[in-house]
Amino acid sequence: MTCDEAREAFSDLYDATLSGAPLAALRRHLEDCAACRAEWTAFQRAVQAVARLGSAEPSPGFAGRVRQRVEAPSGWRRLVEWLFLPLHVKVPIQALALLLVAFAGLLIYQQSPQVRREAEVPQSGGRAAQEIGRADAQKGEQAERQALPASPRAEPDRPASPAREETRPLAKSAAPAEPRKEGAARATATGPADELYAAALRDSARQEHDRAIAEYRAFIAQHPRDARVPDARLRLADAYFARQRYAEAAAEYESLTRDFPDSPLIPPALFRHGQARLALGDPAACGILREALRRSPDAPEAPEARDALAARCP
Amino acid sequence: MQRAEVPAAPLAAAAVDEDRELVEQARAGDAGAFEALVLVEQARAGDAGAFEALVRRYQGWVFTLALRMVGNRAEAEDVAQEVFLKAYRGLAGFKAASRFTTWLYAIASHHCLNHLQARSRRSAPAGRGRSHAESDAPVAVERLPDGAPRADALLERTDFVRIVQAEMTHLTEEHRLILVLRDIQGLSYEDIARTLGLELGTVRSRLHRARMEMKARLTPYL
Ligand SMILES: [Zn+2]
Repeated sequence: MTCDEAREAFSDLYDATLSGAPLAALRRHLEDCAACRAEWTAFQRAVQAVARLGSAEPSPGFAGRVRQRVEAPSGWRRLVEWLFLPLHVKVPIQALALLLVAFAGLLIYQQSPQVRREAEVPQSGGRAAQEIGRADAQKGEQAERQALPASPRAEPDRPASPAREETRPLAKSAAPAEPRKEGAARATATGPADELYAAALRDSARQEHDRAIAEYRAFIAQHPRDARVPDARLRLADAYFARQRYAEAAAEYESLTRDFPDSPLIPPALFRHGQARLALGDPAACGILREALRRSPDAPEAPEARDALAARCP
Repeated sequence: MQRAEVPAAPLAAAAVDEDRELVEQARAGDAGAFEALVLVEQARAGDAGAFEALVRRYQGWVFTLALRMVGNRAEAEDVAQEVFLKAYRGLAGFKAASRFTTWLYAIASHHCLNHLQARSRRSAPAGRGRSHAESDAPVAVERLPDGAPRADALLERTDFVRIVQAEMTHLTEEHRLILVLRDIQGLSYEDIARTLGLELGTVRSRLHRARMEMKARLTPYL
C-alpha cells in the first residue's frame, strides 16, 4: 500500500467502514510509516475539531416568529394560492362561475338590444363572476382561520399549586427594575418574557433559588404560551428541590409530566420526581424511578436511580 | 463575567446537560419520527400550532446547519426562517412514505447553498464567501435552547471554535455542506446521499476531500 492509498482511506477508517484485508493493509502501513501516522493523527484531530463546533439553537421565540409569518401571508398571496387550488376544489367553483356568466349574459342579452348585436357579453359577465369567486375564497379563508384553535397549547392554570401566594411578591422582584450589570452584558433579552426568563436562569445559576422560584412562576403565569414554559417548569421544580422543598418539587415534576407527556424533558422530570418522593419518604418513589429507568435506561440520572432502588425499594 | 466565580447549582448544571441531550436528539433527527408525522398531518390540515411544534422540534437542526454554513447567527436565523417557510409551503408535496427529516434536511441544505450562491454573487469582488463570514467574526458559542450562554468553561474554547469556523468558510460550499452534515449533524452516508440526491460514492469522495482540506487548514493550530 502506498502513502497516497493509505491517506485516501482515512475517511473510511475514521467512519469504521473498512474491514478485512483493506483494513489490515492500512493498519500495517500506519505501523510502518511515521509520516502517515502523523497525518492520521492530524486528520482525526481536524475532524474532531469540526465535530466539536456542535449544535446551536436560534434565539428565543424563533418558532413563534416563524408561525406568525406562516399565519399572516399577504392578501395577494392568499389569492394566488386560491387560484392554484387543486382541481377537484376548483372545478365546482368554476362551474358556478360559468353558470353565473351564462346567466348574466342572458340578462344583458335580453335587456339590451345593442349588446344583442355586438355580442360582447361574456367579458363583463366573466369579471363579475370572478369577483364573486374571490369573495367566496376570502370568506373560506376567514372561516378556516377561525377554525384554527385559538391556543392549542395553552396551559391550564394550576390553582392547586401550594406556593401560589409567591406570585405576587414576585411580580415585583421579577420586574427588571434595578439595572443588572452581568445580566445586561449577556443581554439577549428582547422583551419582558426574555428578560424575565434570563433573570430566572441567572438566579438559578447563582443558587439564588428563592428569587429564581419567584421569577419562574412569574414567567409561567405571564407567558403561558411561551415555548419555554415546559423548560421553566422543570427548572422551577429543580429550584424547589434545591431548596429542599420536596413536596412542591414533586408536585411540579408531576404536573409537568402530566401536562407535557411528549416533552423530551419528561425523562429527567421522572427521575427527579422519583428522587423528590424518595426524600419525602413516599413509597410511590420506587414506582416512579422504575418507570423512569424503563423509559430511559441510559439517562445520566439512571445510575443514581438504580442505587436508590437497590437501597430503598425492596 | 461574574458568573465564573459562582458555582452553578448541581441541578441547574444537570439541566444544562439535558438541554444538550435534547439538541443531540434533535440533531440525530429520528427522535419521535412518528410524532413528527402526526404533527405534519395536523400542520397540513391548517393547524398552525402543530406547525409551530414542528419548527420547535427541528429548529436546532436547521439553525445549526445554517449557522455552520453562513458563519454568523443573525444571518443563520434568517436562513433558518426561510427554510421553515419553504417547508410550510411545500407540506402538501411531502409524501408520508419518506422520512420527514430527509425531506426537511434536503430543503435546508439546498436553501443554504442557494443563499450562499446569491450572497457571493452580490459580493463577488470580495472573493468567495470568506470576507463576509470573517468580518462578522462568527460567534460560534453554543447557547442553551433558551438563549442563555452556556457555561464559562466553554468560553475558553471560543477562540479555537472561531478558528475552526473561519477555516471552514474557505471550503467550497459543497464541501462545507457535506462536512457539516456528516461531522456536525451526524448523518450517515446514506442519509446524506438521499438528502443531497448524490451517489454514495460521490458522498464518500467529497466528504473525504473536505476533511483532508480541513486537516491541511487546521494543522498549524493542532
Ligand atoms: Zn505512508
